[in-house]
Amino acid sequence: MKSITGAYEGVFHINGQTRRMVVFPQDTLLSLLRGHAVSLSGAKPGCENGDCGACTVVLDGLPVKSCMKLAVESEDTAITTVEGLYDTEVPKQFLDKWAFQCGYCTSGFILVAYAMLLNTSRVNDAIITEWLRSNVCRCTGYQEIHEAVWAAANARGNGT
Amino acid sequence: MMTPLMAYYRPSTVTEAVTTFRQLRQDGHHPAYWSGGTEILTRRRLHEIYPGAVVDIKGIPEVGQHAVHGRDMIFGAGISLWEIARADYWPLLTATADRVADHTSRVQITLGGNIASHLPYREAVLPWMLVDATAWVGTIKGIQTRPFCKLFDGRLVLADDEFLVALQVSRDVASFPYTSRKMTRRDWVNYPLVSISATKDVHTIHAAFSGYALEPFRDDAIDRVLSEEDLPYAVRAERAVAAIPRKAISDIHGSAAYRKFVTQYTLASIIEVLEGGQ
Repeated sequence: MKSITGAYEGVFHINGQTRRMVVFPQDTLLSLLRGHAVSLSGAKPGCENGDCGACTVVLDGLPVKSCMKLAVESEDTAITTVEGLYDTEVPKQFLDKWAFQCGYCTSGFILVAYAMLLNTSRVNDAIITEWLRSNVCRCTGYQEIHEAVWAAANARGNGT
Repeated sequence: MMTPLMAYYRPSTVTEAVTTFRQLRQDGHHPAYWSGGTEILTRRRLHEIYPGAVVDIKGIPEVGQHAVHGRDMIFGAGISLWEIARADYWPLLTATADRVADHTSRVQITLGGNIASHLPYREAVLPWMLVDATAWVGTIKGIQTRPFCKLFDGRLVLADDEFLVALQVSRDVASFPYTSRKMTRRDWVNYPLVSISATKDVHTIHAAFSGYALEPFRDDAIDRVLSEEDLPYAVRAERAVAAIPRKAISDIHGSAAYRKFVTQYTLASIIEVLEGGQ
């Protein structure tokens, strides 16, 4: 039985790299990613209540709000953050379509869109809307975000 | 501020889970069973609960099962609502589970976690209140089976150290006419004014409600009124709301009067759908 009662050295697979890091059992995945040991600040602390989606990362191909996930639960999973999507289609399309204003929510939207394209062979407006509803943009730049996701879907061959 | 320590245990059998829980309780750690964990983390952040340890049941094979076995469907308590919708073994459960929270959250929220929630909103339990289902319960003696109707009375009735392992139901229920509605005041993703899951056997409509009162409920008297085929839909819906034996919630999402109004017209629409109208 896995039993963690204090500081614990875990093995984490983040953006294709395997890292050994010390975590406490109550640490969230968000705090692990943003902490000094990893220093990946792409996942943003927003509501820290599972509502806003700014902290979204992808675990084994599925989107997860990292503020709602314990770090110790994330061992032995493939963790992808927005830093792991550097120079890939979804963030490129967000830039092309100006799908950001203040940018705080952007990484969360990018990760949700990335996960949607991994899990959906053919997207449509309803599917995109349903996946993107998990995230909040306080600048209300939803139209451009929707367009960027469509463009990424078409570029990857997930369009209809 | 340092976050208080919360120890983490991940057993691989039911007996190991219950034994660990008992030992932690005996040692004064106020343990909690952990599945998706979203509610525990949220309530802990709000200082509403202080579990000193969590026992993660997702490592137990029976908790993670999701399959059709012979004439039955089995849904492990650790299956996420997203997985339930993806597999779509039982259309009523799919329709109901697929309206809980938002898409990303449903990847993490589990069937057992939603049913065992302390919030008034437990939509995933509604389909189970309408059928003859069997609950698998984790006990110190291993897995025991109990009728789900005896196990759920507004909330799960379990001993402190027991937990829901899985739910089992006949595949026949997948062919029943059904409908599921979640009514919010505004926004698609929000807590419901009322969520109603309904199904129909030969002549009887069965409905279960969440969000209307402090706990999910169903009632034979409501079902009888809804099934009076000689009466117009609107009349039945009005009488059904009058027959609800619970006090409607009045909160920031809507007043009690508004909840009753929304419930009434939603029920009229549900009857129409179940009786073959549009």
